[in-house]
Amino acid sequence: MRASKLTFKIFLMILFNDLGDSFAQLLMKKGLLQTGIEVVTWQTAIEFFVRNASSPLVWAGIIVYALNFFIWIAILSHIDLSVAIPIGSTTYLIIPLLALFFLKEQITLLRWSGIGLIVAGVYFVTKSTDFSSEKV
Amino acid sequence: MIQLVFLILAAEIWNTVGQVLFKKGTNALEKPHLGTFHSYWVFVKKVLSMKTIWIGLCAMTIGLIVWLVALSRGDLSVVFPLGSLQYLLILVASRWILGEKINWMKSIGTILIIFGIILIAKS
Repeated sequence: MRASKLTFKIFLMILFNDLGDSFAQLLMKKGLLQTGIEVVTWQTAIEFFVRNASSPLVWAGIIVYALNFFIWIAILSHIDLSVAIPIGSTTYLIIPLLALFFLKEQITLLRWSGIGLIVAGVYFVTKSTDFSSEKV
Repeated sequence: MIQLVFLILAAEIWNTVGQVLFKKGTNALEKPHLGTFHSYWVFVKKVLSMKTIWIGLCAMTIGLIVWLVALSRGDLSVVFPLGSLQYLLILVASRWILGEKINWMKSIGTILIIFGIILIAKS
């Protein structure tokens, strides 16, 4: 078993990686909405893939995903999967906060509670690694 | 609706398989030194020569396609809360397949994150 030490650098890499993932999803979602096809039958499925394969937005999303892969494997080579994945959930709070500051979007109390839970969760997971790295 | 739930679960299982294979692949290699480009480049070349990694990439691609199909027909308020189950699957797979140490802190942290995502999705 390999020791897993979470450093600040790796933490930042995870954040960067997950922001990239969100960005890629956004690009793909935009691309998908443009084609506006709902996959119900095999025929719509074929149409769905043909149309999306010619969408620049979808391709941009795929490229961002591909670049992200190289950051992700470097992260995985250093820390446990069960640590890297939960910490990545930090994007769930970065995006609403960006929307708050730049788009002046309102954040509801329910959403603040969700953000609070995620912060607490990431804190616990981060703490749990120090724990296991002592034992390894 | 039931179909949508199955689609999301299928996407998550494929993703989990992909992540586990990535982790297995990188576990077999020496850790790159993240500060130097050369060490990283050697690492990337080794990674790309591994069968495990390529199978993982195939699994992730299937997962992504299934996920996109789910997004195309699904209500986001259903897709996102269910998407948080990914964290649970990863926790279980890390413990049973990769043999990572799961302590109480990690489990509680992961469960808090899942509830947090559900709240955000519902708001």
